[in-house]
Amino acid sequence: MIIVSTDYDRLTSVLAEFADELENYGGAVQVLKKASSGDLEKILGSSKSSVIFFGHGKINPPSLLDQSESALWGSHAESLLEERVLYANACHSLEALAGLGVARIGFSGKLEVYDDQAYFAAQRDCILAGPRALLAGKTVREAADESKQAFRGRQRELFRGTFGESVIAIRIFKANADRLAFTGDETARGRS
Amino acid sequence: MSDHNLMKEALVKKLGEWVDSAPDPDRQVFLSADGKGTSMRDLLRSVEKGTPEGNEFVQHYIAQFVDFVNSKKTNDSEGV
Repeated sequence: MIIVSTDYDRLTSVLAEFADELENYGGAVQVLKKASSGDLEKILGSSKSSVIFFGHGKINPPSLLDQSESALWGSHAESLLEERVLYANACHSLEALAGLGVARIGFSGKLEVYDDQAYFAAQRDCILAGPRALLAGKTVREAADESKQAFRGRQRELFRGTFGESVIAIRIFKANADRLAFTGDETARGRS
Repeated sequence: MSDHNLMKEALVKKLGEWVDSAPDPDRQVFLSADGKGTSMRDLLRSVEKGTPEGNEFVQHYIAQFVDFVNSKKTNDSEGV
């Protein structure tokens, strides 16, 4: 799989750090950090692997953003995405991926992160649960469900804690679980 | 006053205490992957003003609280 990340502000830096964990999968992953659209196109042209993105997305027009905050791919590159499973941990990623690839996992609306080191491990585990499932050979539906269930599990756990934890449970973990979804062929599996 | 409004009032009070006790309540701690950030105080204000985002938070918080109470009740009954 192709792991793509950007790193140019606080949020992308946190997500890039989460994405780094996937490097442990060795040969099963190809890593593109501080990704530019040009570099990604080159990789897409030479491989049919699934793509997992970490970074910013926007709704108008729906797109994922590369390191220079330009569209991660232009319309001319969309044919390169055919037959791939596409997974994006970014705001409005489900909208940005609409109609592309064989199946898509992403967020309809915002993906949010609570900027406190004490909560990074929990958030990383939830966000990476889906990518890890795809890497383990599970289907798109299973991968999306695993991430969603991870967010929900942490939500319930934190809600029973302090008041501050209950706020984070709702504002971050529930919101992310609600917005995570997939479209396309639910039986598709990631390809390395 | 409706039950919802009573719960919202209690939630606003607790949020206010949480914000007051935070070392830097104006720091943007809720980061969103569309490039925007929200501070604890922003969250409190959105709830107080009843913005769509604030109302959504209140609805979800109350729903989770009710679920939590119901699950406690069920667990207690099972223990008898």
